[in-house]
Parts: sequence; C-alpha cells; structure tokens
Amino acid sequence: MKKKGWKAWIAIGLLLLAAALFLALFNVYDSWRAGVDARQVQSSLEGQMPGQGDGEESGDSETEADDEISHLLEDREMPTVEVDGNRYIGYLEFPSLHRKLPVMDEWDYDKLKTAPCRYSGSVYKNNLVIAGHNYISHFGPVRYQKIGTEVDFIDADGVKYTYEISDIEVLDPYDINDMTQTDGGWDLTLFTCTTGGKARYAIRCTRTDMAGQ
Amino acid sequence: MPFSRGKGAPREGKSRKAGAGKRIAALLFTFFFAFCFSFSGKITMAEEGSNSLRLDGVADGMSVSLYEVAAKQEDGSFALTQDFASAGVKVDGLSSDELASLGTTMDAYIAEKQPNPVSTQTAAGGSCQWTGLEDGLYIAVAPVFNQDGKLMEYSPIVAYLPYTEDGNWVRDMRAQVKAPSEVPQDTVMSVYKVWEDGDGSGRPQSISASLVQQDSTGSRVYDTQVLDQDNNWSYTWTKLPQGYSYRVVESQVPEGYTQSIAVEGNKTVITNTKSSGQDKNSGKGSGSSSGKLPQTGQLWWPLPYLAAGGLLCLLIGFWQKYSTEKKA
Repeated sequence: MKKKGWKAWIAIGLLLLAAALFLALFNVYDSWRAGVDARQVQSSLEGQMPGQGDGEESGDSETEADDEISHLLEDREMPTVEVDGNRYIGYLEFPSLHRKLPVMDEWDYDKLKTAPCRYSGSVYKNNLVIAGHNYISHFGPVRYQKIGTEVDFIDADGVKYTYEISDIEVLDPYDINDMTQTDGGWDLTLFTCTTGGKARYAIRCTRTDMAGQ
Repeated sequence: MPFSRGKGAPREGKSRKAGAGKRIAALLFTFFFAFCFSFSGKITMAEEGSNSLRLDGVADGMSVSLYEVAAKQEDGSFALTQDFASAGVKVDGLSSDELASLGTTMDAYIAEKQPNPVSTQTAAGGSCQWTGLEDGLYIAVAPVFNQDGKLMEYSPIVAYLPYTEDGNWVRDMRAQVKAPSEVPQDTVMSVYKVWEDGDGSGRPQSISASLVQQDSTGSRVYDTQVLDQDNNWSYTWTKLPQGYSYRVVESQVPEGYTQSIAVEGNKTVITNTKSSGQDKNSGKGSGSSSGKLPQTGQLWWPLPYLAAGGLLCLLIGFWQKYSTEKKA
C-alpha cells in the first residue's frame, strides 16, 4: 500500500499544479482578450466621435462654461455612441500608460468583460464613477499610478476633461455611498477590485481644467 | 418690468455674449417681477374678487394678448385652464427657478398652439389694461414687430392675480414694461432634452420638438424633429432663414411629466420632470449590485493555494518514494 501511496501523492500534486497553471494561463488569456476587445471598440468609437483636434468641440465647451444655461445642460444625459450594440459615453485616456479605454454607458458583468462601465454620475456634474475590471489590460495598472498622474476623459461629443489622481483608497465592497460620494466629493472616481477581490481600489481624481471657473 | 422675449442671441463672439446677457437680464427681471407680485408675502386664501392688470410703457398701437394659464381653485391651488391643459407645466408650488422659466415655457407654447387669449388690448397712451379678471395665473404676450428695419420683441409677463405685498392681497396690478429688445438673428438653433425621471422607467422612446418661426405677421411651425437616444436627445437646426424670431417647444409633453423650457442665446433646454424618481446621473448606476459594488477582479486567489498544495503533495510523494526505496 505504501509503495503505491507515493504515486498518488505525486499525481495529486501534479494535478494541483496543473490547475494552478491552467488558472494562471486562463487569466492571462482573459486579460489579453479583454484588451483586444477594448482596443477594437476604441477604434470604432474614435471613428464615430468628433475629433478633439478639430477645436470646435473644445471651443464650444469653453463657451458653454461661460453660459448661464450650462448648469441646465449639466443635467442632460451624457451623449453616447453605439458600438456593437453597446452604448459608450466616451473613453478614458491614461497618458502615463499610453492607454485608452472606452467607457460604456451602463454596467453589467458581461459589459465589464469588454470595457470599463459607468457606475454612476455624469462628467457634467463632476461626479462620474467608472467601474473597471482589474485586467492588466484594463484598470489593473491604474491602481499603481502615482498621485498627480494625469487622467483624461473624452466624452462622446469629443470634449476632453482633464483630471489628476488625487487619492487612492481601499474600500469595502459594501461602501457604495463612500464610492459614489453622493455628497459631491470627487470629480471622477475609477474603481476596481483588489487582487483578492475582497475590497475595491478607489482611484480618486480631481479636475485640473477648471481653473478660473 | 420686462417685456423682451428670451430668445436667440448672436451665436458667436461678443455680440452673442451681449445678447445672452440681455436675455439673462430679461429673464431675471421677469422672474423678479413675477416673484415680487406673487410671493412677496405669505399666501393665504383671499376672497374671490375681480382683478385688474395694467401695463405701462407699451408702444402705442401694440396689441398685447393676455392669457389665463391657470385658474385659482377653492382650496387656493391653481389648475391649468382648458387651453393650457396640454402645456404640462407646474403652476403650484413653483420654486424660483421654475417660476422664472414659466414665462419662457408659456411663450413658446402660445407661439405653437395659439390658444385663445382672455382678450387682446391695443396700447394707447403708453398703456393697456385688463379688468374684471378672475383669480388666476396670467401671461401677457406681445407679438414681434418691425421697428426701424429691426425685428423687436417684448418678453412675456407672468403674474399671479391677486398677489401679496407686505402680507396684504393686492388685486390691481400696475407694472412698467421694459423697453423691447432687438431679436438676435441666428442661423443656428439647438435644442437639448433633459430628463429628470430617475432611472427613466416609463420614459418615452422619443419626443418631438418643434421650431416655431415668428414675425410680425404671426407664428408658424417651421420644422419638427424627433429627439431620442440615437441623436443623444438633441438637435441643431442650421441655415435658418433670417428676419424671424424662433422658439423651440415640445410638441406633446409625455403623460406623467411636466415640461420646463429654458432659453439662452440659440440654445434651448427642455426639461421633462417626473414627479417621482431620482436623477440617473446623480444616483446609482445600472446593473444589479444587490447593495454591493460589482466584482471587478479576476480569480487569482486560488492560485497560491493550488500551487502550494501541489508542491506539498509532490514533496510528500517524493519523500515517501525515497523512504520506501531506502528501506528496500
């Protein structure tokens, strides 16, 4: 019996190591797939959105900021662009990571596999909260960015909003009120799971293009 | 008292901002006027009676129409009159912002629907006057007109009759009308739809917005466009003929909603408000969270356990093999 015992232990050990290897490979593949999906969407999205460089949109935005009616326009629905049956409110750009990520209008678990999604709020009200998977190709590296790192959001009209990371918190998954900051705390919040998935990183951002407003 | 309409400032440059400034001033003045004459004291039930309204400073020969938007009920509340039943506006418990926009909303509604006025008075001696008015909410509107080759307009007057002043009910209102202003000639008009209806349940798939064109001969619907999610609930008319004043109005207010129209320059914001519900933009997002933030992590935690367990099993296996071979 003991002669056969060592074979069983080795077999179990190999099985466990194979499972670990399979899980690791699957996660790497899933992250790669998510990155490919996001890039394909991003390409289509930018093709449908007005360019930032044409100056018209950013010019309008600046003028709008001066208008008294702009506070009413803050209440409008964020404009969206449809790509492959999903609606996107724009995209995030991380210059330090040379990365652009489309942002869907609404979230569910299937959508999160393709791109970060709006969890709540509006860029016009400076309370936008975006949930993203911690794929290496999505929000994975964002949580390791330094305070002061630039983050941009470009809405579906092509208007660019510039932020910098001001704080990174770790919140309990039930801290919805803290995350959404319904009392109007942070201009932009990006959140993703910690590695173990038991908590959430909240990357808090402050707008830097509002000087003088 | 204001009497210039809140519409269409020049689109570009300083002229646009100047036009917009005048609009804001007119709107604020309208609001101030309406506020002073309607909420200057604590409103309590007033005895039924006959009211009068006199507007001074109106150009002689100008025809000014007075409309009764809402009639005062026995309980002191207001109810929309038959001609304004489809306007879909709040007339009770108005906040200051809502009161300020009421004149703009009603002005656009009147331009499109052309309801019957209580009466139309032709100004003489710089004034026009209405008497024998029942308790209610009124709006006085004058048509756009040509003066020295320019298109001019007065802003609408909104007033509760009677109104309170220093806690006393006043049934005879007399007000000085602000001079008319030139209608800015824009070739572009934009409309934006804002929903204040929580998660949007029960929201119609689309609404129609009409662009109403006015000149001294009257008003007419120039164009009607459908606003929906595909055009992000907004539309911009371009290359508009000159020599007119333009207003945008929602053709039919969705059931269960009220509308409010705000205008500045060549932008019109139509807000539809549902009595209940939280703004989607300020509330929780979509999806089902069950009180928990979504799980946005990959399944990494079993990896170290699997690897450690596997290595441990291998160690035990190789140790047993070594022990067995050593004994043999």
